[in-house]
Amino acid sequence: MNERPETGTPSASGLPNQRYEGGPTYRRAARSVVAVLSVTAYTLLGPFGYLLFALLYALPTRRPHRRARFLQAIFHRAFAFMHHWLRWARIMRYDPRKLRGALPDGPCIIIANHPSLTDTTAIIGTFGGMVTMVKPAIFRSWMLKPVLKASGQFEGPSSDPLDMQRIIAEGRSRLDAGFKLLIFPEGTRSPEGGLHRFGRTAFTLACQADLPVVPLVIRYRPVFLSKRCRMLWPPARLPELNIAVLDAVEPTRYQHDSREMRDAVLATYHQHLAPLQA
Amino acid sequence: MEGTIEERLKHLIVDALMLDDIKADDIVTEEPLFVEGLGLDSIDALELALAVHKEFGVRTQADDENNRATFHSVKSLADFIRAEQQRSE
Repeated sequence: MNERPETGTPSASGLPNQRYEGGPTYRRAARSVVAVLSVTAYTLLGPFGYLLFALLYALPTRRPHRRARFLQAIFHRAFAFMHHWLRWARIMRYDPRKLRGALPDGPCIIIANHPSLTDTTAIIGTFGGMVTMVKPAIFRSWMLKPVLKASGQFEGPSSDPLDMQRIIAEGRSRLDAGFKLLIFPEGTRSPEGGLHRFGRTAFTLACQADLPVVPLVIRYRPVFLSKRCRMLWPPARLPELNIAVLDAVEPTRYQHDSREMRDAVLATYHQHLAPLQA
Repeated sequence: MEGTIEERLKHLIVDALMLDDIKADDIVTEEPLFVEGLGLDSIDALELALAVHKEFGVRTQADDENNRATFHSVKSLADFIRAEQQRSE
């Protein structure tokens, strides 16, 4: 499985991949102050953005898919802007302008490892035009639910194992409508430098809908906004995010066997992330 | 298939979910089926629910809040099947 050039700014340091690292306290404190200011600005300006979304949502439409694409385009621009800000403010380094259009045309299932909270914003900010499963606690928020729903996102699985029936149906309906679907197959954030076992949801959908899976490999050095590294206490060295788009994986190659497909793709991820796991 | 519900369930899990590297006897009755135990995923849960319906004639509902407890282990699933069978008699 070939790896295309990575998005984002290439590593200037040439250092080997590293897990979360500390550093001089004053540098971390400076970055922390900028992070606090950014969160404050977001908190003050965010409600206006949500209000705009709410107004767009309230507009009557006969074409819900068209409105969903329009709202997805706004998400795309908003997340791209957010990453430009984060780069400008030297909170993290990632440029979403690179490698746009590297995904296949038409519906597909995009999967990615999930080292940090910024993965979703980075992927959507780079490629745009996709739907994803949203954590139930966030999806059910009274403020976000209308906008998320109108843009085609759907509620992620609950703790009920049989809730997957709904997830498969929701995923299928989005793919049938021509949307790209983003799924993090680990179901939670990755352990630092590693991977959890992949679930089969993405691969089951790919096999059922006969659509390709496009794996994205995310590398973060040092990891920021993982479960251990919080927003308000970033690492001293500037966190650098890279996204690599691997070749699309067709279910026909695995005779539409979601287990085989999952195992093969997981093995590929382990190969690509081996330096991080060393 | 002869045997207790627990034994039948273990064979069903191996056969229905095509777990080539696991034998039915290796499955511990009280061990969790998902994630940290046998390592099944939620798609396995769906397939297992269909297989249980086919084999035992009992059905779990997708929106049942007890599903998590029901599918926790072979023992909990067997208890559920016994209770459903008694109720239908």
